[in-house]
Amino acid sequence: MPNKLLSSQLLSFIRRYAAKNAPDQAFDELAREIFATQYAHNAIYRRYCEERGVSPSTVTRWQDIPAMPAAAFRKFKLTCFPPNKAAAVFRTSGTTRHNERGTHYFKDLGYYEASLEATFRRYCLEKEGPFAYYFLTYSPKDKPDSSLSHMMGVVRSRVAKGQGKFYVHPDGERWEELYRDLRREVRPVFLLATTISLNSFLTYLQKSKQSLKLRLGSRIMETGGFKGAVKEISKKVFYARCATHLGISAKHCISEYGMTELSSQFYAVSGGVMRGPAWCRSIAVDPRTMNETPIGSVGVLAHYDLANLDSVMAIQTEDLGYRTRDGFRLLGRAPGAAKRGCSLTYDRTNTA
Amino acid sequence: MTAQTLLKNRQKNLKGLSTKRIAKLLGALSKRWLDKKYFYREKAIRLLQKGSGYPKAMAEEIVTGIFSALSCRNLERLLEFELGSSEALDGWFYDARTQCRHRATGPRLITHIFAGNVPQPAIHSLVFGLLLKSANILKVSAEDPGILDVYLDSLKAHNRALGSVCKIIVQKKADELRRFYAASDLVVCYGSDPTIESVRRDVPVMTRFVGYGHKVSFTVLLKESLKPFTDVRAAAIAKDLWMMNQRGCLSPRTIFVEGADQRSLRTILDKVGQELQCLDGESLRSKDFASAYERFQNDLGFRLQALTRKTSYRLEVANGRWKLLAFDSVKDFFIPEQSQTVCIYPYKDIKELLPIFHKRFFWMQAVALEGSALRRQEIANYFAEAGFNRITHAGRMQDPPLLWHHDGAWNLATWLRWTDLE
Repeated sequence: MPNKLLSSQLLSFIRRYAAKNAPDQAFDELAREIFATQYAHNAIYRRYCEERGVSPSTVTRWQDIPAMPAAAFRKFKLTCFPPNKAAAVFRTSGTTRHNERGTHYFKDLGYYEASLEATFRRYCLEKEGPFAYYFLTYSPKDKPDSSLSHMMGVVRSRVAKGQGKFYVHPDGERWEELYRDLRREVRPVFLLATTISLNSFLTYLQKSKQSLKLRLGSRIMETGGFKGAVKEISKKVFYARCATHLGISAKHCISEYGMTELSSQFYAVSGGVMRGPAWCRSIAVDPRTMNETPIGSVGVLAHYDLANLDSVMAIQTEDLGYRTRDGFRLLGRAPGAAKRGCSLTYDRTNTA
Repeated sequence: MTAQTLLKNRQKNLKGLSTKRIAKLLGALSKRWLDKKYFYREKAIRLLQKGSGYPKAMAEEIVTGIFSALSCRNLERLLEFELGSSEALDGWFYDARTQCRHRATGPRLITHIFAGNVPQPAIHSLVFGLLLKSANILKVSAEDPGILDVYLDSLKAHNRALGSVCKIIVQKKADELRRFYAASDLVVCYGSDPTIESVRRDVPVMTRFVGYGHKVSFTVLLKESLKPFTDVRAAAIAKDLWMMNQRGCLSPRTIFVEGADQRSLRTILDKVGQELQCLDGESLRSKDFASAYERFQNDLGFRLQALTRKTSYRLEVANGRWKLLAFDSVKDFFIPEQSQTVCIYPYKDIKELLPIFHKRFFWMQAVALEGSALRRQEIANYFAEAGFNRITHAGRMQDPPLLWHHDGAWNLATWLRWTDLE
């Protein structure tokens, strides 16, 4: 289990680089130290590294640390501590694969909350404020195993100072109430939503022939994409709808990219470059050569999130993208790749 | 277009057509689809490549396979085979065995639920629906590459009457789908067990429900087929694996080899691996990003799956997109979760395999069995009892005859209703 010294090192790293970039050397040293700890305490991860022929003694730079496929969180309890000692457990929504939900165990939510608060403040609250917060998501009480709901709860308690209502409930969405509240609002608002819930609210406004002109400086943070739940539209069209129905222009629309498997989040303003905190770096791997791609070349994204101290720091995603100087651009999944057909889902037969 | 409109169109446009006439129209359309220059075929090939990630040669073979099977003659034979007469849906016919007259009536409206990205079941299902003179609501998955749309466009251009009774829907809320189920006489669902389970729950008790679940298939090589293990046999095995990128229910995921030693396993691995590489062609071997991405994902998936078990494989061949692994014995048996990964297991006696099959009885589909005619006959009994519904030769797995009992059941006969006149 990671020792207290490493935990405090991580917390001081987060505090120190909350609003600025970290030098390469500082990131590299801490990353390799965390890798050595995870290699020692996370049995599944160690086996994965061994199978790839990598150990702390062979790693000379953080990019060489083997990235664990995000899918592993669906199959294993990836922890450096006994899972029954977890302070919190977050589960993926299961939209990528039915009935298979990834699980991320947290021994301590300290780094997680410090990380998310610092990143949110850095990328979402740069200029205007204070805002009136509106949450178009489930509350942490309604979805205790959702990392997104937990994040919203932290934003509400730490950033919004306990103000702001949740408008999505197990019995349905309360768009009429949200519309009434927004109409009465005199301050700039900050709408925090999933892409699907915000789209649903926009559709509600459209169908009921209503629109809002929110105060100047108001903004939106949306996350998650459409996930096939509704007909997909481009970000450009989506933000144009936000401008039409809410009066919030694209330059005030922030897209968040997060994964249950990560402790940190990335943000992009008006569909631009995704930027993350100083303790999380990303690379793109060329599947043809298995090497890291240079800036601007498309590959499969892997994230190295130091705040994942108690699980696995290096996560290999299934998303395509490319690195930029200060972040990455997300391109989604490769067309036609990893498709399934009517051949059986083999997990089922193997456990039959 | 609502269910009511489809039913009205059926009444107006379809009821007057004889089954033979419908089979003729559909057969003629299939013939057009076999023309490589046919506009809709070319479009479908492009979609299969782009949306499903199939190489061009594979996409061509898939489309040719589908429409060769759906010829007028084959459709008539299917009607005769399953209904006793190709005119059973048009009026009464006398059966000497029962000494009474019978007639069949197809469902007025069928809701088809398609899953995944294997085009064959969707097109077959629609053609069967039309053959039964039914109106068809076709619910495709969000991942669907759009082949059914292209087929429906071609059908509308070919014969407006047939096209007027079909409607494709993509995203629908559960409530809307339930309304379609309630308006249908039959709901046909293709998908995983959980999908079938959830759709079945929503279908009214009086509405007939037919579910086609995901299945698994194998290749079994009897010892006489190894002496010698010819290139032709390797090519046939490779074709079964290659077609559909190993995603189909008729795609063998595992090869069992009777009495194989390390040397013969190495020969099989090498020869089948080479054939797979040939089938993929030069472009897929090194350049294509999508296939490299798929291989990358498969490799990660395999590594993860390997972490869950202590098995070790002895021989490995990685040819292009394909990974072939030979194990020591069937004790290590598992089916790789990802495609383009083939596990090969030696065994001594067929009885070693039976527990593997019996454990998965409800998921068994087909087996490509290679060996002498006499031994094939003998071994086939074991497979029939183990739940397999098709035993064929290597190289033919992906071209099932239209008369094949898909999932071990009748194709048309389970969809319709009979009336007996005594």
